[in-house]
Amino acid sequence: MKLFTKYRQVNLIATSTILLVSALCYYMIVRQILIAQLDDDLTTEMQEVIDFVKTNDTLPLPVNNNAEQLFFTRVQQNIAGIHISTVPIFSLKENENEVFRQIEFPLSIKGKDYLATVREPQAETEDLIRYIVLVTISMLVVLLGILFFINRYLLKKLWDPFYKTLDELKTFSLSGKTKLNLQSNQVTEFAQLNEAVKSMASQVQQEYISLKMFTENASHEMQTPLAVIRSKMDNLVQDENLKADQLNQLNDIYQALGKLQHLMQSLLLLTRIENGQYVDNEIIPLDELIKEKCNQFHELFQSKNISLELNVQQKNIPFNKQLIDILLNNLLSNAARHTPEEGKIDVYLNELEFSICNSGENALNDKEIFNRFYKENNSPGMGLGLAIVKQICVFEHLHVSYNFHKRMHCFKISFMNSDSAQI
Amino acid sequence: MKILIIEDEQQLAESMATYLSGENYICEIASTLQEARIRTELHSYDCILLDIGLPDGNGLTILHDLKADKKEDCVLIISAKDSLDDRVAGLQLGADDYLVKPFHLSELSARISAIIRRKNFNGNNKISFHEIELDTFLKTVSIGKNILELTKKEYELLLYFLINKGRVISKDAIATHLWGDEMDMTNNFDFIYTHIKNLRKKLADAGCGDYIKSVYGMGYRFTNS
Repeated sequence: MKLFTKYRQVNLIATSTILLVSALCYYMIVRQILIAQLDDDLTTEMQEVIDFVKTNDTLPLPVNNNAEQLFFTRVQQNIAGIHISTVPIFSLKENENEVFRQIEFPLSIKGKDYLATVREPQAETEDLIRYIVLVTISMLVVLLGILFFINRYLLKKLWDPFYKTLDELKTFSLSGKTKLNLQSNQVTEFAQLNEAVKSMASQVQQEYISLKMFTENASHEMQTPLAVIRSKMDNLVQDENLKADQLNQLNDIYQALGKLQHLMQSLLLLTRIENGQYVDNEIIPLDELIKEKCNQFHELFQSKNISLELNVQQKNIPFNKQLIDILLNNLLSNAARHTPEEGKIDVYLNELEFSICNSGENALNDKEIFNRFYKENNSPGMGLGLAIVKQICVFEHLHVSYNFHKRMHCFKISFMNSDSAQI
Repeated sequence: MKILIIEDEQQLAESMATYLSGENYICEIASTLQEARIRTELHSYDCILLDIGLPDGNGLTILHDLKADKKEDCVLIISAKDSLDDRVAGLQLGADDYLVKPFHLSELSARISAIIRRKNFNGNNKISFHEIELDTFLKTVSIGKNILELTKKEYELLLYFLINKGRVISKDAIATHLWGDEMDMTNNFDFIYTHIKNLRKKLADAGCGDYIKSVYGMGYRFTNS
């Protein structure tokens, strides 16, 4: 829910409630005042009647018109005091009940008791109230509307810096070289927000860069001691007096050394791809390159009696030469390593996609297979080959996927630029 | 044959010198740019092994100076940097080859041998070991009067053995030499065995002695002892 929507909702509910309550109060108060006014009139009328009786010692003439009714009733036992009340009276003229305000008071003339009643219609008062309330409500509605629009535009303008900051943050990339471009703001809160975001972003960027530098430097610096170890080993094994047992141990060291070196190179490669150090794309005749690579791997396949089915159509693709080499090497090495003896490998290329499938027993975990250092049981590899493949595809905006179908592991690279390839 | 090793990592330089001395190379070591400059100005070498990252500067300046002085010393760059740019920059400056650390000493030896052979184009192109004679120009191998029919890989394998004769060569070194670094075989060297077996058979069929000795799962040694 947007901030404005939320604010408008609260605003609407609050103002409507206040409006309704105040309209009700207003109605009650105005009504009370007008009825009091009516009662005053009735009392004045009563006083006039009493005065008339005192002066003339006779009843005045009854009155019956639209504005006022005055009549007298002969009673045996007179009531005590004055009664003011509201009564509905059926009117033949209007054919409905009309509301009147009446005052009843006792009169005594020549020993005879009378009940005098003065009535004034309350309808006029009610009408007046209605008009007043109507005008009031419409005024309030207009006021509310104006407030609503002011809020809407004012708020939008007020929050504008916030949305600008938000947009800027959306395009922010850790690995990017660009800094956040946040405009200074006169509103303290937004100025503080921008300051905080800026300092956080630059700190995060700095840490990210130094982390990357560290990975690169560490892998790089380790190459030299590795080179020393390897050269010493190369000299050491030349000793003709070495026993079988010692040679076996030296061989284990060699193997571990090979793994370590490979690991370093892979990490370095990953860092370099992430750093965007492979930028020069050229048009690669992919079909020819694939054939060439398959040729290179031919012996490796043959040693395990793997049959290779090559089905490639002509396809040129803009790609970095080194990266496409690494990509194909990794996919083919992967296939060669995991295909069982007498298995088969299918390599397929058309205008839209490139896929490489190899026979296997069980499906692999397609969620994790591209993760760094993820290894299926008994895999002799390091778990970086496919991570590198993924990283290269992400870098070149391609989508790589894995599936297991008809006892074949398939890695597919689709040439349609895909946003889902972004991590 | 004189070789200058320009390398600031003392241990590595000594290892290289030890291995190469066994191949009848005379090795000198320079560990700084300044030292290297003095040596290259005073003497000429058949091959200079040049590390790029030296404590007092970029090793490529030596290469630059050599070319400016029109010296004909061969230069093999050995560097921990394997990025394409460095490689291209080195080769453009006139280096003869580029080797990335870490490497096998047998590989280094093979590269040096290839560079020197290329340079002495008019000299002896023949490498021989007892009855085996290998012509690096024609790329042929003969046993006595028999010319062997070898595949490209078998020829390269034999050449590698001959250059590093008498040395134990690890299977990893052989795999890297024949198939390059990029094929990630992760210690699966079974298929090397096929090539060794075929080469052995072809040599034996031509009446050649069996010089390829297996060294306990570690690798092979080409020797007559």
